[in-house]
Amino acid sequence: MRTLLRATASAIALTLTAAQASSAQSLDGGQLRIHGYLTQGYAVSEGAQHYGMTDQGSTDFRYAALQFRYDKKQDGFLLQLSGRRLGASPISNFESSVNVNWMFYERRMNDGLQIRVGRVPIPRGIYNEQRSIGVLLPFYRAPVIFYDEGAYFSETIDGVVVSRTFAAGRPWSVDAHLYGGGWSLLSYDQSGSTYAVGRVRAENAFGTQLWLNTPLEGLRIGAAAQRYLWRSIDDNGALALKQNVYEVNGSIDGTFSRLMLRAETLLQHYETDHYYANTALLGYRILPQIAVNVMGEYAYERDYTAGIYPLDFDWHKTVGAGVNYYFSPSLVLKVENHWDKGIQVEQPASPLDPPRFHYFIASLSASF
Amino acid sequence: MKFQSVAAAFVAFVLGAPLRAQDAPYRLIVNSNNPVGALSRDEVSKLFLKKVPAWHSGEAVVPVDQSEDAEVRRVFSKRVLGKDVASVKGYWQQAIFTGRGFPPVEKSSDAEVAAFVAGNASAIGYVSSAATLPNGVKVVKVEN
Repeated sequence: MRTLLRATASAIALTLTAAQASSAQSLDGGQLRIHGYLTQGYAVSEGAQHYGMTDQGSTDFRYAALQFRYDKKQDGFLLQLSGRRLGASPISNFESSVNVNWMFYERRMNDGLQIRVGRVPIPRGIYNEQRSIGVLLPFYRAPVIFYDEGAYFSETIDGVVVSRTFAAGRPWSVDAHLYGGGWSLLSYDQSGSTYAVGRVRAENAFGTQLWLNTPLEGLRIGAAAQRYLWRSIDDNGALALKQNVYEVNGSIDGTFSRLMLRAETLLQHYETDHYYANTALLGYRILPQIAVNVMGEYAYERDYTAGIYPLDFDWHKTVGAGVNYYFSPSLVLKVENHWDKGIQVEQPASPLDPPRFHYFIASLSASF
Repeated sequence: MKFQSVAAAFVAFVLGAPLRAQDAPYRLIVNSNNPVGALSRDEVSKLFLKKVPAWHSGEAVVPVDQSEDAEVRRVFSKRVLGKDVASVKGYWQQAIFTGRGFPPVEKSSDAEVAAFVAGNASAIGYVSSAATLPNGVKVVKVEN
């Protein structure tokens, strides 16, 4: 409780004091901008351990980042340092308290072409570039079955991202992104007698994300594709498994002043199985300060040939509902509950008898 | 016709979309060397939200905003950008934290906005209708 109060005080102080800190400063004709965000949560899960949440309840849930951005004419450099706490999750054992989240050089052309080189957020789906920014997310996390928390779905790529908007300013326009490089992340295995987490590497990755912007302000339709070489690494650092992964996904993002309507679908084709995930969200601002949100996710496996599980099975289902109170666009209080059935849990589990559980999160998010 | 008006109002209410920009209690201004004489509301919105990065000449657009609590900003945001000030702030938060961009520079008065536009050939700003304009700026008509 003391931790929660301390974090809450920090969040409020951050919001109150940061207005001046975020203002641009002139440096040699360029401008340095500093921004940041913090989300502090309390979470409890009953029935299974899920992303660090247990039946004990804990305030050890946090996302924080500081962003430094320097721009001079058409050039920019961005450094974002981040840290997160995931309660009792074994993912935390693989992370330091402060990480270089983003670090890239950016060149912007007047014709709308943009090139980024370094550790760059991957333009992929609705949430990938904003997966831990509490003031923007309708729930505490981005859809967790779809985007995951550090496994199977990377936030950043070490490489290059090229972006361009076609027909900018027209009623119909297209934002196109191409990227290539690689990334490190984690994989987990809940099929054995103990829950195991290991490091994996995605290499020779390249992909694209296209967004069709419609004449209805706030409505866009997305399509994406990606491939990479998946390499898992054993405890001795040696290559344990290697396979090609192909992925396609589609998105509809309707974000209006009052109404939010979002849906995404994903197919990941592994050599040993096909993984499908779907997510949908409906949100409505009943008052300028209050929004209510409901969401659902459903993931399933087909043609699973690794031998541990049946050929076809449901991976995970979840529905959630929450209420957000906006003190301001930079300070948001959220309470939410989720009801789950599936094997995306941090404990041994089988699709033949998947755990049923529910979890509650209260969180406060601030940004500057 | 009446049904269409009611339906449009209903859709606008549900989506939180703008109705019309009319009888503006603000004036849109650009540098007097800028050849632009009139812009549609949609064009102005895209310039201020940086969805259109450059003028037809190829020069980068430099929008300048009023301070967050200014009445003229509240009206301009609602009527031209189609969002309240809080929603516009949310839009820029998204741009900042996805690394895609940053909001226009803010000035704390009509005089400061006008001076900024007068001193920057690529700038575009807005002031309240009663503001006194200095040399070096001109008013641009906003068409629906």
